[in-house]
Parts: sequence; structure tokens; C-alpha cells
Amino acid sequence: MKTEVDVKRIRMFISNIPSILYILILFYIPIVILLAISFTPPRKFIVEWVFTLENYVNVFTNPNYYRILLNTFWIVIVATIMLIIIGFPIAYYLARMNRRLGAKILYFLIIPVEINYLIRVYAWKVILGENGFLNLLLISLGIIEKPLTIFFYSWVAVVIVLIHEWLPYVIVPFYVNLVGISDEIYDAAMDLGATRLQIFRTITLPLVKPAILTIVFLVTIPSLGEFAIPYLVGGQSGIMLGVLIDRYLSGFQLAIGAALSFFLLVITLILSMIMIKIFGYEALYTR
Amino acid sequence: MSKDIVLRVVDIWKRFGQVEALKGVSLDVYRGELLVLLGPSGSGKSTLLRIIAGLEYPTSGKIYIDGEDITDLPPYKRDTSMIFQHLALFPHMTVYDNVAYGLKIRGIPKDEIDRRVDEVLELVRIRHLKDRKVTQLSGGQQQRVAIARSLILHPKILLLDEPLGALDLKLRKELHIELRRIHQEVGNTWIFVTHDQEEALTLADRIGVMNDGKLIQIGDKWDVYEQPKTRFVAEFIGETNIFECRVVEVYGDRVYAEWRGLKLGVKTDREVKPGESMYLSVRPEYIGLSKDKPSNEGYNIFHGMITDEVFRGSYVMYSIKLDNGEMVKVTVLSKDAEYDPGDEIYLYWRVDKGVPLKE
Amino acid sequence: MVKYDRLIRLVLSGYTIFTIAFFIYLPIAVIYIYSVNDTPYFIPEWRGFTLEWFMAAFRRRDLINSLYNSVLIAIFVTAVSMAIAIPPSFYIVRSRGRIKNIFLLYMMIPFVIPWIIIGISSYIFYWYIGMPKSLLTAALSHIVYSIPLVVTLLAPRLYTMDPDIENASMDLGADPIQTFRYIVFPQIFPAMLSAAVITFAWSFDNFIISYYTLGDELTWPVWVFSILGKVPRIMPVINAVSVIIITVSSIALYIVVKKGLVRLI
Repeated sequence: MKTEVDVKRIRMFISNIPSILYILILFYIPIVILLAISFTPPRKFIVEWVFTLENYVNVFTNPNYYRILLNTFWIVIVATIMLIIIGFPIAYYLARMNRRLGAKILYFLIIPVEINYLIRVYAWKVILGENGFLNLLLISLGIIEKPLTIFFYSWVAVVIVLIHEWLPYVIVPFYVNLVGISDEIYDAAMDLGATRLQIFRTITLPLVKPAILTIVFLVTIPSLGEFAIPYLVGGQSGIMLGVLIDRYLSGFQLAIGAALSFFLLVITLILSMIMIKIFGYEALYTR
Repeated sequence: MSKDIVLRVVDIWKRFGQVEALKGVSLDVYRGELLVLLGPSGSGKSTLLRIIAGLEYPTSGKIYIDGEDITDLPPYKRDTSMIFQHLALFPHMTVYDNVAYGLKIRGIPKDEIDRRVDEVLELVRIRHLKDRKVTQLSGGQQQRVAIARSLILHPKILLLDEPLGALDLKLRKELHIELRRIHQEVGNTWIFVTHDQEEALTLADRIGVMNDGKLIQIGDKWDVYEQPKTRFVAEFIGETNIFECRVVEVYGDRVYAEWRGLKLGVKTDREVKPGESMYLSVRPEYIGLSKDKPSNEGYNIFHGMITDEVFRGSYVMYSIKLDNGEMVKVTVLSKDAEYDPGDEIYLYWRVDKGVPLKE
Repeated sequence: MVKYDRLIRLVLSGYTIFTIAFFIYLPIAVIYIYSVNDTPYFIPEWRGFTLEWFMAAFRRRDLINSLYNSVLIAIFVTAVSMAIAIPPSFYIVRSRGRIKNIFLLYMMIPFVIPWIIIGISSYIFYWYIGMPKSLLTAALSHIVYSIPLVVTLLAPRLYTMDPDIENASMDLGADPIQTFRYIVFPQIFPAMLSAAVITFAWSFDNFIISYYTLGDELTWPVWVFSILGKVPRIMPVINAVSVIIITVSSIALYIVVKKGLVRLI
């Protein structure tokens, strides 16, 4: 009996070796190299294997990095909050008020995702750009005289495009979560004397917490490393960490690029750990 | 028990789209009683309960609590509280928070909430679990939380919608005793919905049998068991033998009927005429067995052969093939079950134990 | 009470339809319109209908090549990551305790960090070991993310599977391979197909990891990026290709969902 269990365990262990090795060689080892290079002096085109903290000192003292870092957080936080505000009522409507439509509309939410987001970014330019539809509309309505440039090449544009990119990824987890709460729970709260508002505050909101966790993993964390959107539409006020990292890498200043990358990695890991502390390990793979 | 009516349900109809869920149900519920609404799934019993709770509104009809018309009141303005089929405990809260929910919502001061939570948890005997998450509790403990959560509001009427359905038999039997104890200690009115006739007989003071959107029979549980009005009630509550027969002779309340070539004596208060057909229900436990031909007056006596026996713990059920080819079920206490399949046997029952039914 | 209900419903339904139609679908409409607008520029003006851009798309070798490369990588990534990720999915669902939690964390970290970090660390890694960047290096780096992706897609479905069914199969004399072939596989097939579709779509569409790990051969998103803003005349061609992609993939998605092969959620 015992040997049977052992055989099973060994078989399970062996079958997991490919995944362990793969992630080790192509993820953890590269990360270690990245970390090592981040401790070398900032040189162009070459890596000089001398230990220094220069890059990290730079990250924390250079006001330019500082500004970009804050900007990155600002944009991502604003986008996440806006996404939740915009997405939740839609999910709520589909899950609790019109479930038949809900199942169908999910399909229509997925279709736009099939177009690469870079192309969608560019389409936004026709709408939000200096000679775009929005300006044209505002001028013809007499609200403004000259085209506004704040819609494009600004942090506002980055937020708008981020919202457009991620909205389906916010609605779906909320929807799944809300559909999973049985009607009986709402009936019970009502029966115990809660009004609509009280039910929302004491039952609905606490129960959609898992969806918020999914959204942080699915939306917020990837957005922190966003490079193409700020690069294409961000202009000066919409610059983000990803753009900065790319600037150093394409200039082949690996050490600074590596330090900034590792910094970003640590930030996102801290964020993940906080999430895991709140929701438990299972949060990593259950939705 | 004084017959003081607390809840009056008058001619309730409920339609969901094309489906008539309730077809004119009227019902009086007495203060302090434990009424069980019994019926198969889809009979409308849960819908009736939800209408009483205010979670659904009737298409027509009225509901009164203590004489006051509450038909259009929302659930939170009614003096009723419901225990749901799947309990509907709030999964993100502790036992304390679940139980305190109704009071917190009403803005009751914290120290009073604490006192009343302790009190009600004491009543259902789970005070030691106060700070546990409800998801960590066993099925039976969750039941107690659900009961406490409702009882803390001192509802005039507690509505229970098959809350024990998901539990295993042993736990259910334990909780039946607990529920009766709690009902007696609290003293308010309970309406319990179930499809399990055994549960109904265990719990109820009175039983109301529902089928197809109608209340078919309501009364003291013994009356419903012993004097079922229809074939449906007879077959739904307990085991029974149904004899399809035809009236031959009538002498006052004494009737003789013909059943597949055998002659049956029946006692009935109903007006019957020779030639009309009749269903007769005889409970298996009211039929006696004997190897020798009994000679009692006022009994129906037939001869047959035992074809099968099933041991059910405290009693044994025999299947008997009568001389006319029909099968009859008979139960005998295990200590008296001295017969074997193949035995020739006489069976007999007192004439007044056969209940004539309306179809 | 009931009136109040209706009002909320009305407001929310209006809001939902408005947001989906005028926000989510707005850029999609723009792409559709400019794929047939007879002007190479994104100007707010209708210059007449043309199918020129669709024709032009088929004439561009670099474009066709990039699409071919994307499909190639996506197939490779999907196949390899499915094969590698099935055992850890089972392991995570079937076991308990510290080692499992450590393993889970180990597998999931690539999943919960921004893709740019996978891109950059791979970029430096290939440079460090002197491996020339190519379609292969890009695919290898995609798999770093798609392994945990497949695990997150499979594990929740495996949760609902009763291990006793496998035990019953073994009890009836099937060996582990037969059990997998006849018992486990048919049960997890729908989940695997969904996971494969999502992994394929993700890899096909991924820009940032490819951007740092590709050589001279480009994938579709990277090719688009190289064109965007720099060669404005090609934009309508990109629009035309997008229209083809969205149309084909929507129909395919509709069919597999209708047939119940893939569940959207």
C-alpha cells in the first residue's frame, strides 16, 4: 500500500520536472543575470563586471526617475479605479438584472480584444487626435475654437486607451463573481430587513472582492510595465517606467535598464504578496 | 392550544408567465403551532412560503397577519422571517456577524446586539462558535446559525423552506428533535415546507398537503394520516394499499363493494350509490396476518400466499398475493414476523380501517 | 419600490448599451471604416469606397510573412505549453501543504509580473549566452508566461473532477496511461481546448515579449509597431488585415462557442 503511494508521488514528481526546469532556465536564471547586471556600473554597449550600487542609488535619487515612477503609478491607479467604476455597473446589470443578455454580450465584449491593441491605439488617434472626431465635434458645437491637444499625447490619452484595452478583462471577472452569488443570499438579506442600499454595501461589495483581486493581477500589474501605449500616445505627461526602460535598452545601457526592470519586478511582487496575504494562495489560480 | 389565528391566507393565485404555480390557496394558521406544508416538488409550497415572506407578490389574493393586510408590504416590513433551502448564510461573515445582521441593519446599539446574539446562540446551543467563519462550520451547525439569524428578530412567524434537505438522515433526525425543542422554547408560529412525509409527521402539529398549486387537505397530522381525503394524500403520506372497487350494496354507513371478484366491507359517512366506483386505502400496518382463518366480526378476511419479505429494522414488510391475483403490502413488527415466503396465509383488517377516497 | 426597480434597470441598461456601442466598439468602427475609405491617411473625411487596401495587403510580402510567423509561434507555444503545463495543473489541485504552496508560487511568479520583465530578462539572457535572437527565442520566451497561463485556465476545472473516477478506472485494471487516455482526457478536453484557444490568441497577439526577443523575422504585432507612425501610408492596409482577422476569428469563436467546444467563462 505504502509503496503504491510512493510510486504515485514519484511519478507526479517526475512529470513536474519539465515545467520546473523550463521556468528555472528561461525565467529564474535570466532574472538572476538581470539582477547581477543591475549591480554593474552604468556603461554603454558593454557590461563591466564590477559591483556597484550606483544604478539603485540613481533610481532613488534622480528626480527624473522619481517623476516617471510617480507618473506610472498615477496613470495605472487612475486607470484601474476608472475601470472598476465603468466596468462594475455593466457587470452588475448583466449578471443580476439581465442574465440572458449577459451570456450573449460577453461574446461581443471579447470580439474587440481580437484586434491587436496597437492597432486600436492608433484608431483612437482618429478619434482623439488634434484633427480627430472629438475636436471636430467640439468645434462644430462651438464649445472650443481651436483643436485641443490634451486628448492625445498626454497622460489622459494613456488612461483612455488603457481603459479601452482592459475593460473586457474587468467586466468578465465581476460578471463571473456576481453570477456566482445565489439569489437566495439577496433574498435572505432582504428578508432580514436590509434595504437595497444596505444589501449592496453589506453583501454585494464584500462578495466581489475576489474579482478585484483578479483585476489587480490581470490589469493593474501588467499595466505597470506598459510600454507601447505611453510610447505611442503618452507624449511628455504620459511617460511611464516601461518607456524609460526601453530607452536604456535600445541605447544598450543594460545596467541601468536592468536596475529599473528589477525595481519594477520588486514593486509588482510586493503588490502580489499583499494580494496573496489578503486572499490566500488559491487566489493565484482560482477565479 | 387556543385557536387564535395569526396568519390568514385568502385565495392566493400566482402565475409565472404561462405557469399557474398557485391556484387559489386559502389557509388559516394558528398562533404558536408548527404547520408543515407537504407536497412534491413543483406543488407550489415554496412559492406560497415566499409569498408569505414577501419575496414574491401574488397575482391575486390577500394575506393578513393579525388581521392586518400585508399583501403589498416589502419583506423588511413584515413580521416574518425565512430560513432558506440552501440556508443563504453570508459566506464572508462570521457566525456573530450573520446572526447580528438583522439587528445591525436596524441600527440597534452594539451592547444590545451582543446581548441578544448571546441569548439566541445559547438557545440554539452554538455560543462557542460565535467567532467562526460560517464556511468552516458543519452542515448541522450552519442550520443552527440560520435559525438563530432569523429568531433573533423575534418574528411572529418563522418560515422554513426545506432547510434540512442537504443533510444526511441521522443528522436530520437529530435536528428534528432540536427544532421541536426550539419551537417549544420560543413559542412563536412556524411554517415548515418539505417534500419528506416522514419529516412532516415527525415535526408537525398540523399538516397541509399540497399538489399542483392547490391545498388538498389540511388538518391534525393524525387525521391527515388516518383519514386521507384523496388517493394522492393517501399515497404521498406513508405506505398504503389502494383497492379499486365498485359499490354493490349499501346499508346506511355500511357498504359492500366488489374488488376483483372479492367482497369487501367498508364503513363510510359518504353518500354512495350501488354501481359507483370507489378507491379504498388500507395502511399496511392495519392489516393483520394469521395462519389459521380468523373468525372476527367486522373484519375483512382474505386468503393468499407470501411472495416476498423485506426487513426494515423494527418491522418487516410482506408482499402477499391474494387468491384473486392482486398484491397487498402488509407490515408486521419484527418481533412478530414469523412467516416466510411461500407460506399460505390469512390477512384481515377492521372494516373501519379501510378509508374510501375521492379520486 | 417596484417603480424604483424599473428606473435602476432602465438607467443601467442604457448605460451598458451606450458604453459597449460607443466606447468599446468606437475604435473598431473606425478601423472598419478606414479599411474601405479611399484615402491612405487617417483624416476625418469620407473619400469614397475602395477595396484597394485589401488587395494591397496580399501584395505585401513582409506583412504576409509576419502573420505567418505569428501563427507559427502561436502553434508552437500552444503545443509546448499545453504539454508541459498539464502535470503541474494536476499537482496543484490534488495536493496540499507547504511544498505545494512553494511550487505554486514558483510557477506563478512569471504570471503575476509585467510581461516587459519577461521580455527584458530574456533579451539579456540570450545576449549573455550568445544565442542569436530568432522566432525560436521569441517562442521560448512566450512559453515562460503561457505555462502558468495554462495552469490557471486548467486548474479550476480540474478542481471539479472526482479523483475517485480515476481510482475506479485503475481498479478496473487500466494502467495510468490508459486511464489518462480514456478517463481523464475526455473529461478535461473542453477545458484544454479553451486553454489552447486562449493561449494561441495570447501568443499571436503578444507584442512586448516578442519585441525584445525576436531577430530579423518579425511577428504581426511587432511588424505593426514598426509601421505605426513611421509609415502612415501603410495604415489602411493594417486596418484591412485587422478587419479580416476580427471577422474570421469572431466567426470561428462563434462556432466553437455555439457547438459548446469552448466556454467563454
